[in-house]
Amino acid sequence: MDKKTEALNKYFGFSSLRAYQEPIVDKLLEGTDTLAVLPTGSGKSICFQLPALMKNGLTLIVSPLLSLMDNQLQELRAKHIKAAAAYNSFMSPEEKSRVLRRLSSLKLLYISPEALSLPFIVERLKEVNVVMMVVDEAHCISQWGHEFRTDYLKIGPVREAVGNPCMAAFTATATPEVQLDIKKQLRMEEPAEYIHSVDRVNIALFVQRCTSEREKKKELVRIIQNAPGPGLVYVTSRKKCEELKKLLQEESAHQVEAYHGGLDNEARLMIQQQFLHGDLDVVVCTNSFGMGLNKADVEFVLHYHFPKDAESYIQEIGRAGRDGRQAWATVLYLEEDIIIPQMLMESELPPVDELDAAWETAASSRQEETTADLINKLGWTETAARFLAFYLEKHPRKRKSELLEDLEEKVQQRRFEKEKKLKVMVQWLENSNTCRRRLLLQVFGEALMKRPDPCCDICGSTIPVRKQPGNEKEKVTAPWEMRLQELFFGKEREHE
Amino acid sequence: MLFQEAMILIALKRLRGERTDASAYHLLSGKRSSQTITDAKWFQSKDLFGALPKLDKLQFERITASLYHRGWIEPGGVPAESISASMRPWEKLVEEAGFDGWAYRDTGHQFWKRIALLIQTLSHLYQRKKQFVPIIQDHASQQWVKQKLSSWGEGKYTAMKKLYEEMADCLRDMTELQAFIFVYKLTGAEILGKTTEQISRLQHREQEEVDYLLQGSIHTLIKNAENQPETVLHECLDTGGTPELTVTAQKTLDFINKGFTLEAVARSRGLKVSTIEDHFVEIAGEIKEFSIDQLVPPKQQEAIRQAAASLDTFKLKTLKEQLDADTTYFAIRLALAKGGQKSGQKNRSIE
Repeated sequence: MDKKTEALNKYFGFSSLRAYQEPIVDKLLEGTDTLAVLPTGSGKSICFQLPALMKNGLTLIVSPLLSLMDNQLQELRAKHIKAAAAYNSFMSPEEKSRVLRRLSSLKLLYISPEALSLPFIVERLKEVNVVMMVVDEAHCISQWGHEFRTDYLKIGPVREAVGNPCMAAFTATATPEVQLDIKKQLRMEEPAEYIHSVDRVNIALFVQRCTSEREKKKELVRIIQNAPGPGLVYVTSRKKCEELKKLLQEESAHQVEAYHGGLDNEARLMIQQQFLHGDLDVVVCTNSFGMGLNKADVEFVLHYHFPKDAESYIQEIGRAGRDGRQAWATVLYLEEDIIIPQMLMESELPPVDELDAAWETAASSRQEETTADLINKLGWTETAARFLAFYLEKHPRKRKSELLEDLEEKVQQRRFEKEKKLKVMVQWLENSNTCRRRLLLQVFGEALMKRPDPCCDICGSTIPVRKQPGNEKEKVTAPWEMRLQELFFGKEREHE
Repeated sequence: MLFQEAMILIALKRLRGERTDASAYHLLSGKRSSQTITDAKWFQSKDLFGALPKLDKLQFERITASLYHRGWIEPGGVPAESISASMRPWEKLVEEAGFDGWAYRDTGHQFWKRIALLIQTLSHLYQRKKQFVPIIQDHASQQWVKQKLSSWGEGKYTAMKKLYEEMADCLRDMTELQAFIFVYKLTGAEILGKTTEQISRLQHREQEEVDYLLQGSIHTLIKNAENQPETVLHECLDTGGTPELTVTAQKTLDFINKGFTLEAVARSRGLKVSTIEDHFVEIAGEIKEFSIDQLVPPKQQEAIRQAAASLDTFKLKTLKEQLDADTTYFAIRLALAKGGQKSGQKNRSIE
């Protein structure tokens, strides 16, 4: 057995890697920079976790989302891999300092981009042996990408500061221009590239045009009733989440729950576990659900509100059909809904008429508090505040008038980019004569090589109807005595 | 009548119009201040302390206003007689719940985390399932469970069966509803726990009520465990056992122990004398060994307690009017906080 297989067996309990994972692992083991565009749910994390565990030294994994970090850590802990930890702003000071103390004994450190840009963290990292850096969701680094985060731009300089370790970038969705940008910003030199098609052949694509909110609700109920799931319904607000959950609980025979940021941690974890475990059929959620959620048998993703661009769409439907079985995705398209991504877009940009006030605020606050002050004093969103804070930090000596002018231009440019992306999304939804799959692939510079069957509504496919005989409502709840016994000993007390 | 309404009404009833509505709010939301803690004690309302932890001031005011509007609360701030029949089942619920937020709020949270994680872990081990996502993410609890398991070693399944028996015994003494809530919240190897909302749907109860009853069942388990040193449940208790003082009152006590006078504490800490007085009252109520005889002559203490008993009131103003002119409010509060010897009262004696 070679070392790789041995380690794979020891840490993950597998005997072999999948064909496309193999070369990535090899490249990273030999220390070559690597760019990988892999569809979500394809077992991406093992590509860097395995080499990280085999290397002598620390691997930093830059991950933008708390839930992603948490999920991966939980999975590692479940596999009894202990040399892994996270560092982010949601941890208590004690937790943070505990992580920093045991840095030299760690193999994997999941870190948020904003934490990575703190000077004292960089200093601490210089003291240990950083052998590899992994950037997850690497498209966030590009301003041509759909989720541009200024913090990501600081990763490149940190790489140099900690001694130029090998760099790996992963993303599920990157157009060719975003790929170029990733390589440039992360200072990758002649990286190995593994670019997979964004096409998920086993997911059939549907768009259903509705003319009113009422019709949308009716359609939702009808579709869900005929789809046993498991499935996800994406909406954009907490309120809508709760409203649709109630509607589906009343009108469908399925076990339905809601998941959004307004729930407490315990409830969030519980619902996630219930869904994984198969206790729930449908989860109505905001897009924070599903990030890094490894449920292989999700049968459908239904967008009650459409996403702001094709990249988000690809990412969100990518949570279906990971087990390779036939799955489907549908959008309930209501023209007026465009207001939602539009408003989201606006809120993520600094308001042009408040730039002056923002400059004053920033001038009177300490650098590391600029973002927080903009959020608290001006009511900006985090994205907007970070955007501004970043440019102020980058150009500390520019005159105010010049800077503001510059900023306004930057904001307009961002808006223009975002509007363009939204327009592409809407065009895709409105399209009524070209294969949806072909059109979607075009956005990513790909051609459709082979049309799967079923493909999309335009190609004549329809949403599968699977009438359930009888309904699946929860059986009468067991008395607590029985439940307690099952909790401890399982359904049969086999060890008695 | 909704759960929150009922709890507010019960709180106001207990306070007997001798405190403002805001005091009821502080009591129900469980504010750790000297005044609220003393109120909880005087008015025998530890079972309401922190009963509605998520209630915010605005909600409270909206509900109270509507209760006044409906005539359920009289202008004097006490519940109307006409409502007492509808309040009774709720009072019974509070009586049976075993909730004691005053003593067990924080230990209760910790106890729950330990028990929940311990059961999840044991049941996975017992059913030979190694991998699971801990439902309790808290590091301290995870460390605790780890230590417990290694200290039990081979005896862990014996401990587990014992724990099961102890819990079943204790739950049998609770109401069916409380036992149900507690058990359905737990997670094992094959079954996942339910969220508060899911339980509230299953039982057709409000979420706030389910939360209160869950905490009540946890507090009951703790109370039982405290008296049974040989049990596994007892091992789950935190043995630290610190007295229930607010952090700031604890600081004041540290100064007192170094021999500072009240005024000197106020000066050194840069706080108002009245604030330090609040701390004294809190300390007097909590620390048995803390004597107030230097501050209030024993004779005056006795007079105050007798006045409170004969007038059957804790209203400071009424008491002050009844007592000698040199009796200060501070003296009255101290004497009542120390309490204990109050005579002539049946079920309202101060503990």
